[in-house]
Amino acid sequence: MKAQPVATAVDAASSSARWPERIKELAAEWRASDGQNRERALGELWILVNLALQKYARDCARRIHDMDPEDIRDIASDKSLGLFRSLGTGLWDPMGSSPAAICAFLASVARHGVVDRLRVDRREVKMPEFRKSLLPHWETPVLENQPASAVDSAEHARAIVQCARSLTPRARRVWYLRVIHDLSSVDIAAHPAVASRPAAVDVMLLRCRKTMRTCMTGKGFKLGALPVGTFSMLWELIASVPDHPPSARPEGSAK
Amino acid sequence: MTDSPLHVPDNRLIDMAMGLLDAGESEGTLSHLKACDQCEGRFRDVVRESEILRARPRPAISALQQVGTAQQPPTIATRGRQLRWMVWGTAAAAILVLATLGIGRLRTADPLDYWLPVESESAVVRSGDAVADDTAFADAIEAYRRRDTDRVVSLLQSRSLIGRYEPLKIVLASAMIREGRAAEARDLLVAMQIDTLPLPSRDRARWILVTALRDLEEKPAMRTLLDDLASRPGEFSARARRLLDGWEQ
Repeated sequence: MKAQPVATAVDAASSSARWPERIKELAAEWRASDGQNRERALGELWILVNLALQKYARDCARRIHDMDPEDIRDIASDKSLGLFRSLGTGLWDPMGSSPAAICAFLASVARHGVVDRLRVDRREVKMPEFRKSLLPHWETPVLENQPASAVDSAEHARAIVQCARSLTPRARRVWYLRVIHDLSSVDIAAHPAVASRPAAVDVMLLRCRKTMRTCMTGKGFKLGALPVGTFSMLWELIASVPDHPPSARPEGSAK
Repeated sequence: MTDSPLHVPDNRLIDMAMGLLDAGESEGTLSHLKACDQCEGRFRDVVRESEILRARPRPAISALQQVGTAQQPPTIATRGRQLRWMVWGTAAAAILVLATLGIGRLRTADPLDYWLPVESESAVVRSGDAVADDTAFADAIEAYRRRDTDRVVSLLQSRSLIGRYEPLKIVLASAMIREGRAAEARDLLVAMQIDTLPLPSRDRARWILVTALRDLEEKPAMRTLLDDLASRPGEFSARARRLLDGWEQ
């Protein structure tokens, strides 16, 4: 399958990102509500601000220096903490800003974080380089055995998704978080869609892997490679379960 | 790659991951992702980050305010900044000693009538590599020392105060307040992320911010900062307590 150019949609999307407006909405919801609604608004705001700061930090780092994804995450988290403090004291009020101003402000905050980090990096050994020098196969792909053709890839992708459907929603989520996103058992157990103990997650993962392996073998594939399109289909599947949407948006607020 | 018209931009991927697109947009984007290895990989990264953020505990606002008041160990991100500000701290400590010996005037009738010690700023400007704005920065510091705040604002407000010159933003904010431009001073300080500054600069920036908030009559935020400053030893703890005493009466 060939990628469809999305030039028109992309051009429109560049100037009409929804998330800045959503930040305003969530800040207003947070101020106006209490209890669970307040916590939910704050939870989604936290994710959104972090993702936006990561994006801007990545953009900035890409222009001037390579930066480890862990560093990008740290910068975003660090700056988000500062912003949320300001939100709590009323010193940062996104409700009074335009979406463009929110974008400009977050880009500026992220840029400061990157510049600070690069200043520190000049004095430190870069961890990724260190790891690579000791462990040439550090980044060994988990996924192997790429199918030979595009047709094989599409069938392979469908087979993985069909097998994932055979798992219960909760088990599927556990498998997805580990195999697709490589989250630790501790993180998976703490995930609100799982809410379990790490040991229980490990047991669930063993069963999931066995089920998936058996299912894939039955379809004539090995569970290994993730052909293009697989992740999008799995994400759709995960997002289709009402209790566990991909975002923390409340029901009824979808556009 | 994120700006290529043939690929989905990061903004759209964030919207998609957070469920902010309508059905048609979502479908169109997904059909591209399913056929574009590169975009799907980036989308997967965005979703992964959102899942990690969901899984890991998020600090509550109240807890964040507590964190902001405590002496936190430096993170990697703030260490470099702290080193840069250390020079200023040393100079400031010397000035404090002089002040307590009676050479400088520490206490004033109005606790908020505060002028920043600028000797350390002078040292930073003089010791740096020559840049086109160095003369203007030196002039601004001299003007601040003469209490010519109008001149300080005109010299600094249109210049890029980044890197080692970032501390001059506090000087600019202080001058702006004296010129009746408290709202601009507040915005400047908030954008600086002053909670991440090392001491004593953090407290000085907070004190200037308190002054701006007083002028703007933003009392809840002002009270939060005063409570913080009064709750621990520091350059402004006594001043903050005096203001709080007056507040409660």
